[in-house]
Amino acid sequence: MAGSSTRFNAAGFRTAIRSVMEMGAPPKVEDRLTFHFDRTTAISGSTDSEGVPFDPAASMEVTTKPDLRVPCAVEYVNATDEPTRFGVVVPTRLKVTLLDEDYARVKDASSVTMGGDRYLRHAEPPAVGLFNVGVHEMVFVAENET
Amino acid sequence: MAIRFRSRHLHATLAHLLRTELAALGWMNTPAVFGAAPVTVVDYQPDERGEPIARNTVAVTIGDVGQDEDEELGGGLRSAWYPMFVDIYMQESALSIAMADDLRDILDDRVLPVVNQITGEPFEGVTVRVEEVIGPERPQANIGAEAFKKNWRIIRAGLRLYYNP
Repeated sequence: MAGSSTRFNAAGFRTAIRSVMEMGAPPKVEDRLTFHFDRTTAISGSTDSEGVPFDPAASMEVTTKPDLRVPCAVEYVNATDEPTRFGVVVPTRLKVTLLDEDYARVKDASSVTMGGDRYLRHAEPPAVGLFNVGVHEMVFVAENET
Repeated sequence: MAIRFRSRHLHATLAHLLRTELAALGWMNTPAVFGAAPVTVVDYQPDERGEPIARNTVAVTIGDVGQDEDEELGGGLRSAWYPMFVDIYMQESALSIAMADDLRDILDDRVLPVVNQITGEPFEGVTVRVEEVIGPERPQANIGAEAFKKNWRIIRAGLRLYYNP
């Protein structure tokens, strides 16, 4: 478990880590990992547990957070299991590592795209850190691959 | 047409009934009856939404409806029959059985107005009668861990919705 230290240069650490992440990112911006977010709907009146209004004339205001690219490290983990009649048991996934400030901007992402493939939000291991800098990992599984 | 989107109003009415009655019986207290964790009543099957089934969950759903029937000739009262399922996922099998017994008492031969979920007021002349309460039953599931399945019980009921067209 990380603690805190006045001698630790958190700002310098963040800058250096982001620089490494930038160095490892694909040179074309469109090839880089992009975070996508579900649309949110504000509805007047009562709704059911799926958020669908009971009133067919209820007003709805749909907002969608724009796609984001933030500094991150991406580990590609190829499918490790044989296909079965139920599908691939362990699908291809991406492990995305982010610093706390960048994680805060994308923590509600529902999916990511990279290299033309889409990956769905799957899991999030407990955060770790280096003194007062938090380090987060988000795991996404492949929806399909091209 | 008596009520537009009647199935959704009926479903929500039944879910609200179970939440209210189970709360009154102490199932939602902390701790709940028998020292159990508080119960959550949901109006959907968690696994169908890709959600893990949490212990001490009661899931109320309604099934397919058949053809409406005349109860009175000459444009009078009509009715529709719905199957209702209450899945009980408690932390112990004894608690599942206890919950099932309370649910039977809540539902058995119950008649209540169907509430308009838009206004919060009952629809005029629209009622539901719980005709048949069957269970607790153990589902013949071929999925899930044995430790989980042993605590899973189902109550089935028939709902007769009465309305004036």
